Amino acid sequence: MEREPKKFSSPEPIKASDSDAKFPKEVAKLAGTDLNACLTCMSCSGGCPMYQYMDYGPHGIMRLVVLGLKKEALTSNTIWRCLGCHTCAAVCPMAINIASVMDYLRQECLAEKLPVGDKPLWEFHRCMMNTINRHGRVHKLELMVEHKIRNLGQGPQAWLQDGPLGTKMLLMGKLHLLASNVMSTGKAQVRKILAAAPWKNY
Amino acid sequence: MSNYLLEASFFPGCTLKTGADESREPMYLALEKMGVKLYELEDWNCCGSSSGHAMGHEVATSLGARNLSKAPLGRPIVIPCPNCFRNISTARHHLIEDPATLKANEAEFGRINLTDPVLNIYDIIHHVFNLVRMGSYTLPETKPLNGLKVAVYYGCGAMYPKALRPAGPPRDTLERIILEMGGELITWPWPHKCCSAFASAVYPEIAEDMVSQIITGAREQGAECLVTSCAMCQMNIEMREMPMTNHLPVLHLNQLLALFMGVKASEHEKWWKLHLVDPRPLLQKYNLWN
Repeated sequence: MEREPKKFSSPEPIKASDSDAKFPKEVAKLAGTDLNACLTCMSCSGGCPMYQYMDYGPHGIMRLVVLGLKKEALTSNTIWRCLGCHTCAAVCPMAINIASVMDYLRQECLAEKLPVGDKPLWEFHRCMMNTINRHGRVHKLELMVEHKIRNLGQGPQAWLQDGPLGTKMLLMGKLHLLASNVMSTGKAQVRKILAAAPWKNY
Repeated sequence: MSNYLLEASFFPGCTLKTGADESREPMYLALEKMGVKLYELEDWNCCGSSSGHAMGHEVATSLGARNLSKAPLGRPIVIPCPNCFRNISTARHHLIEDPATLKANEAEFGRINLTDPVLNIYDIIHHVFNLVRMGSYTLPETKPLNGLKVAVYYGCGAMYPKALRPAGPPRDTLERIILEMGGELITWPWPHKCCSAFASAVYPEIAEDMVSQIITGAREQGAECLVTSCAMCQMNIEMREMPMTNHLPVLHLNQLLALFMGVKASEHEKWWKLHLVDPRPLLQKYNLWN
């Protein structure tokens, strides 16, 4: 993947009419954190392992949210390229839970059925939820196979990627062939939990 | 009265359950020898992994709540996987903070155990070593690591929102354990760097970039192996360092602990076959093969 140039210099000035005043309050409430505390010190982007591949980076997303630019924030690829490693939340001097803001934005993007910023990564999340839905636990082999099938459109390089290494690990016994399952009553409970989330209807 | 120093509930997590046998077996063996007995939670489910919290706030909380509802009262809950630990601790935090969520989840799953602490695997080991240092507990025969040069790698598993760990990432727990076991620590730049997590499955080139920074960082400072408590990090780093010319073995903390507690070759032989980078020459060099 190429390193992403940052979209900071907007050709058009930001208009007050583009801004959704309710958005920052909503995010702050559901992510359980105070966005106005942000100093724009960029500690989050400094710590972020994916910063060079993102279009805004975590501090850019924090600005977009505070300015109420909902569409820009929800369609950016930053929210999907976030790996959820919580480095931003751990280093933030103002104790803002940035990882939780990212989580909320992803859910909002799916709930509003907006185009996702990074399709393969979203498909990975979907495959992960599907395997939890089936077994109650994650089955790595199934997850990888399903991800391959869902990404057939990405071209031949993606089909063969990691094939030999994956087969080797399977033969070594590092990946189990069979899934570990939750009992049937538990599965019903897990499915009920998952069905309530917006990813299901995207 | 039980014969054990500590009895704990145990949440294995999907990676340890259906993959990393080379980490699960040494954990049981070593902790048993240290006097810690683990009881696996009955019918546990996935904590949501790296996607649960991203796909729905309630998803992660409810998945955690169901797991906590399986834990019997009076035993701490040990979660060896750092990502599961963070997910379940976050869920626990939300349940404690928000009575409405707790009520809804209790209606679904029954009593939820919020009284007993949720502990990481190195919290337990650190605790036992502290007791030993203070002289209130003695370990059976141990076999020191003979100055094995170790780069301690927490991965992102040490990163928590400030609400969960106000003091920031732990800086000396793994280090203390390694020193206590007779290993030698190196100072290096990336103990908390992300291993690329699930991006490894989607964009291998990103993962290779991150892992090469980790491996070269450790190698330049003279490390001979990386030690981590996260089975996912171990797998990611091993997989993505394969195209590099200079390999560095990545060991599980549990394996070093088992060697320290004197597990015999007949038992530990099979673990090393599950490594893509063979650590056996290194172990023989330091005379850790018993």
